[in-house]
Amino acid sequence: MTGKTMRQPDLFSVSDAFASDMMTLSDERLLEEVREDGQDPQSIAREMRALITAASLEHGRSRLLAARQALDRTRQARSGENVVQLPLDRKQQILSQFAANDGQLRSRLTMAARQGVGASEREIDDILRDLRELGAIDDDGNIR
Amino acid sequence: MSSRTPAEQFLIQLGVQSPKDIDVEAIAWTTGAEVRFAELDSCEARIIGFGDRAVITVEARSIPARQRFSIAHELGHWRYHRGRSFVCRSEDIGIRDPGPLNPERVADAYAADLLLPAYLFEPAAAKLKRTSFEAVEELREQFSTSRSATALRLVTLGPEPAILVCHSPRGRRWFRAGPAVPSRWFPRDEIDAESAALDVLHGAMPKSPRTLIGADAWFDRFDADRYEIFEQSVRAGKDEVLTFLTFKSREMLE
Repeated sequence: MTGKTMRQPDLFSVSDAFASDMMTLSDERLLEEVREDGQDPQSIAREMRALITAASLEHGRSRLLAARQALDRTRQARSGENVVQLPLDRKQQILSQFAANDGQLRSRLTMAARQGVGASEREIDDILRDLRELGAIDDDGNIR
Repeated sequence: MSSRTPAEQFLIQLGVQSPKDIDVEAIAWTTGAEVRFAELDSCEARIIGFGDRAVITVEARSIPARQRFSIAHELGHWRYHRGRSFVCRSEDIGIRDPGPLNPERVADAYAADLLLPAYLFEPAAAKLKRTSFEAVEELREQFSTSRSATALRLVTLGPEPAILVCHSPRGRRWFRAGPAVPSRWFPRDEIDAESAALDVLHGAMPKSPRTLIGADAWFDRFDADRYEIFEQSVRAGKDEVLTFLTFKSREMLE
């Protein structure tokens, strides 16, 4: 965790003023100033685009890397967790409650199974564990 | 430059610049979905979502390429069908479904774009010059995808106009034609006795070489006997054969 960076009022005032000055200039005037300084606006635009693209790619890659690390940490932490033990008819009752509920709860729920033909008991266990971990039900299977 | 699909835009946002960057489990995590592996009895994969978080569970015994496709397929549901509940039965999956808005087709298309994005696939396929099963093997090695998904992508984004046809002993199961192939070239239901596809289907060889054959072996049209086409077949699964048909004559594509 990094500490809070101290704000430096003088420096920020200068940069704010600079930004404000830039924003009030018309596009034509800005391009004129660049040319007066002996620079090529097209070339500057290309450089800026390349910089933004590189920064954007780097940000995306960092995000994906952080996701992989978080996933690995979560998997390690989860090993050995117990599944809630409930009778089969109670488990089926919980799932049917989800199927029957057509109100606000249903709209928050997403369920899809690829090439599905009807869940076995161990799959029902896993589904209930998922629902519990997602906060949809409590430890006793009651819908939150 | 062609327009990017939502899956491709997402990959670009995540800095994906090569096929090996497509870490589909990490991609899922960035969307609030955790991928788990378990032995499943009744389905290939499922997603359980509540609010903005989800768990995707994938059959642990499947081959990695199939697992990746299943994860990407469930991510398609997560993107497009949030707040909906349904079961995708096997007859809903794949190429035979009825319309483009069918949830399974939507999820399949998203999966294909995520695992085989055009901005990476097209240049890789162009380097291989031909639409062949040798090219498919090279591409699936790079993208970690299944043969059929890669072959389907090659038909759409490959270096030459092509048709991919799937036959079982009971006849043609499905086919997909590339965008440059005129719709008049509609493959026959049955495999012609002259075609090496028949030998592949009956197990005489796992794959046939790319060879020329009369177009009338594949197309039941009055003018088909004027042309020759290339065919190449490979055995797929227990009782299916996939065949690439590519065109020798430009006239057939006009």
